[in-house]
Amino acid sequence: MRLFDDAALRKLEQLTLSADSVRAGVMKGNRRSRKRGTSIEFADYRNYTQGDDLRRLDWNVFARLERPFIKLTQEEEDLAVHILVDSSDSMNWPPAEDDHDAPDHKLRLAMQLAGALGYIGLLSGDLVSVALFDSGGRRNWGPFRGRPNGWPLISFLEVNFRLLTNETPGGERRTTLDLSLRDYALRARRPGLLFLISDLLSPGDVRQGLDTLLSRGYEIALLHVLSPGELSPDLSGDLRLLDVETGEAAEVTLDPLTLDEYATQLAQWRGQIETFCGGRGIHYSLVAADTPWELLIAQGLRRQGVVR
Amino acid sequence: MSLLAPAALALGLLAIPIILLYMLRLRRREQVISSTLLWRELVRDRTANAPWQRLRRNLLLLLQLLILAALVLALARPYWQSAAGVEGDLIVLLDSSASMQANDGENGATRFDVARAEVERLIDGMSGSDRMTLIAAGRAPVVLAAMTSDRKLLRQALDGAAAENNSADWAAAFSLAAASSQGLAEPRMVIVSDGGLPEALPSLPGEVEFIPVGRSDENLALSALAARPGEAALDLLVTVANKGQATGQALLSLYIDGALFDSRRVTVDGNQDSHLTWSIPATAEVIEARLEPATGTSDYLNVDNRAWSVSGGQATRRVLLVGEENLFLERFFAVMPGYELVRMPGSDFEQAAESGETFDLTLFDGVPVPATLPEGSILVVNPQPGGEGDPAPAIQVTRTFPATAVTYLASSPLLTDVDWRGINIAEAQAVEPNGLEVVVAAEGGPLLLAGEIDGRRVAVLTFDLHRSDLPLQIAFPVIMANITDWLNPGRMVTIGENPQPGTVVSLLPSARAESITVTLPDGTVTEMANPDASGPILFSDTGQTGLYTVTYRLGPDDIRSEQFAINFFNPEESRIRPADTITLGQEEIRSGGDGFLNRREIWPWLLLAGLAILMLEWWITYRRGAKRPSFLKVR
Repeated sequence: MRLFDDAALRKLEQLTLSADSVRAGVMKGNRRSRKRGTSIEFADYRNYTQGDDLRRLDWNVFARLERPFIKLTQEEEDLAVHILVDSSDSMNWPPAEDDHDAPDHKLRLAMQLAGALGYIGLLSGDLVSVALFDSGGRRNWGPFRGRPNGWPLISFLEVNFRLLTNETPGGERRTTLDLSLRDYALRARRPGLLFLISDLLSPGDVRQGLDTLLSRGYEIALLHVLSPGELSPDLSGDLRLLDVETGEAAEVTLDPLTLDEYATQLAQWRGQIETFCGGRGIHYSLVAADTPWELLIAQGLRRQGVVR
Repeated sequence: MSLLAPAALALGLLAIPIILLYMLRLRRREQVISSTLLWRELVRDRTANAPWQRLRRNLLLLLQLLILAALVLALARPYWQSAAGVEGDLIVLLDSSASMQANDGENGATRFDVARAEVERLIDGMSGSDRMTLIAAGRAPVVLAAMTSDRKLLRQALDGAAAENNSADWAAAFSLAAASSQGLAEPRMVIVSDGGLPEALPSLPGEVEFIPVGRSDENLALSALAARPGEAALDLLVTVANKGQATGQALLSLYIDGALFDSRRVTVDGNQDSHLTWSIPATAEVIEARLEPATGTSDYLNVDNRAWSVSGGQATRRVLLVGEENLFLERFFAVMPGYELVRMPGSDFEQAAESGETFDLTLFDGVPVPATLPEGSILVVNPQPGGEGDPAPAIQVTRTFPATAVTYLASSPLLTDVDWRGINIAEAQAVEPNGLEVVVAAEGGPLLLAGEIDGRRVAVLTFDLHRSDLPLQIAFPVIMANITDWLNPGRMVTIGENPQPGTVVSLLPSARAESITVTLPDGTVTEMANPDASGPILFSDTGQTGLYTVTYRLGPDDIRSEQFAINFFNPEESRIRPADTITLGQEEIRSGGDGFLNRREIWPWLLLAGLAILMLEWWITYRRGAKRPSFLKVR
């Protein structure tokens, strides 16, 4: 069971990650920064002001025009890329049928996205760290930098994916997103671009965790993965719904009216998150679990400006 | 609304298993899902507006319980007490016998009113295609309206109906109803009656229903009133019958010729008779008895509280024959009905006259007519001159003459149908007319005279019957009948004993009578067709009880009248006890209680409603299923 094939990975090589508000890395990366910097690539001129480094003065221009201009060049920087994958039982959904993974498996898509993003980051010289978190603790990878770490990242994800999916869900892996995010915010040494891949189906309030991350200087892209069965439930009759994660039960009678109400509820919930994210500059995108990950990277995230 | 089979409601307990099944069904299937986060929100919302939601959630249960309710109700057979009830072809037999006049209804309504109201309700309940035949079962059953669905016509017919003073002829009414029902697929007979149907009635075709009317059996009745000539007076017998159960008291008043004669208080035990007798003057003509119930005594039938008797009507007229035996005259009066002949020799007449005994007709045959004429009419045959020293007779004889060839025949009622030509007379007495009119005259003198002397009618045959061949002629009974009829007109009314309302009365007026009118007890005057001199006139409009006065005119000034009485002496109809059941053939028909007929069962509608709900339930279930074909992943 492979998460990626080579052809897909090759496509990723052309992509880079971009973060608007993350401060420059300490090491020179080989990805373009939005800051003007010290690289050799010309960007622009500006008037000299007192205190500017005279080494940056364009003497040729000064000789011709007798006016001092500072020559701006592109700054090249590295980026800390954090990829957080919710690996709780609710992400391990829908369950496998007849030893075949469901095509719309949420965790698989999450892993694929994590791999893809991490790979892009590694290719562009960013510092990439990946964390799978749930109640059982975090499994961390990285931070690593550089193309050679690409395969180790992918095999890390594949191994963990196999481990997680082979487990029988028994309420062991829960997420309290709120706590996990705050914990991560405190531990991580270098804030950067943070991808949170989760279904957000967690009892706590994810917003506080996100706020903590923001306050630590992270730029966040939230990939909200929901399976089609969650977007429009394929259920009917009088049911006692059991939460695979918490074991909590909800008794509902499913008829068209109830389903309509569910759809309203879902839209409202999503709307709240989206509004929250929009207000804080968090890139939010809802991802249906049956969407191919290549499409998401190539189109969805690009549209958000997270990937260039 | 009432139920015909309330026991079926117990089947409503089937709701318990349905609810139990529902509760079993509602043990929800467990379904593992990724998260109940959103669902919990939903459930929280739901419980906020719980009552409606719970109801809606159990809509199917509700519908199933409704179906059950509809079915159970249908089994219980509810019906409406409304006026809607008549279906199909209805033949209504409306009892119009005399007992239906009993006013034991509310506010003094008669049973007939109540019965009419019942029929009115039947008419109201008719729908468009229903038809009704209305038969009034009286003395002669009448079809008031035949097989019509025209309600207006039926109501008119019903309004025109009235209770009679007779017993109903139920056998005839039944055959009329049976005849009316011929050709009908499902005739329904409805008998509206207070009972009193005779035993051994044939059964009726179709379904028979019985609507009883009447509530009480309390009734006091005059069951007999008879006057009989006794010694010097009339003996009157009055019978008061109590047809009810309770002892009744009443005031019995006797009116003679319109004036109150006597009143007595009568107490009659339940189901007993009380007989009272009076001696009343022989001159009494019209005797009327009135019964007025005392306070505290219920008497619901009024028609049997009055009775009349016309005396003399049936009394024989007494004829005194003064003279020797006369075979012809004695035979004649023996043959003539209503005459009683007494004969005495002429020598005894003086004594007899002093005794004060009166006769309707005195016949002097071959004796001198006394100067003082007796009461009553007088027929003189072969008058004789009085003896020496006696007072001059009323009919003075001067001589005897033999020339008896008839020279003059007056147009007189005495000569009606008389052929005088073949009569031969040997000799006759010549008499002084003395104010009498000559009816037949011969050469020698009058042969027959007639007229009035001192207010008495007098006829004189001036010859000896034995000395003529008149008694051998056919003319003899005719002329004698004419003479006696003229002298003492017989009663014109021939009526049976104890005539009941509706009896046919035979009127046999004098052949000369013109313009016969009958005044009914209520004052209505009926003019009879001018009789053809032959045969009696039959008068049948005797439905009312009371005195009838027959008036006819013999001449311009000769107007006579006669009375006869029709009494309600009908023990069967006076017994007004209402019946709950009637027996037709072998079948006893019970009344279905009040409004028995007027129930309209609604179970078909309930079944329809049940079916409709069933379809609704199916549709709802189908919609739920169809929208979401379920291949549920149950773990």
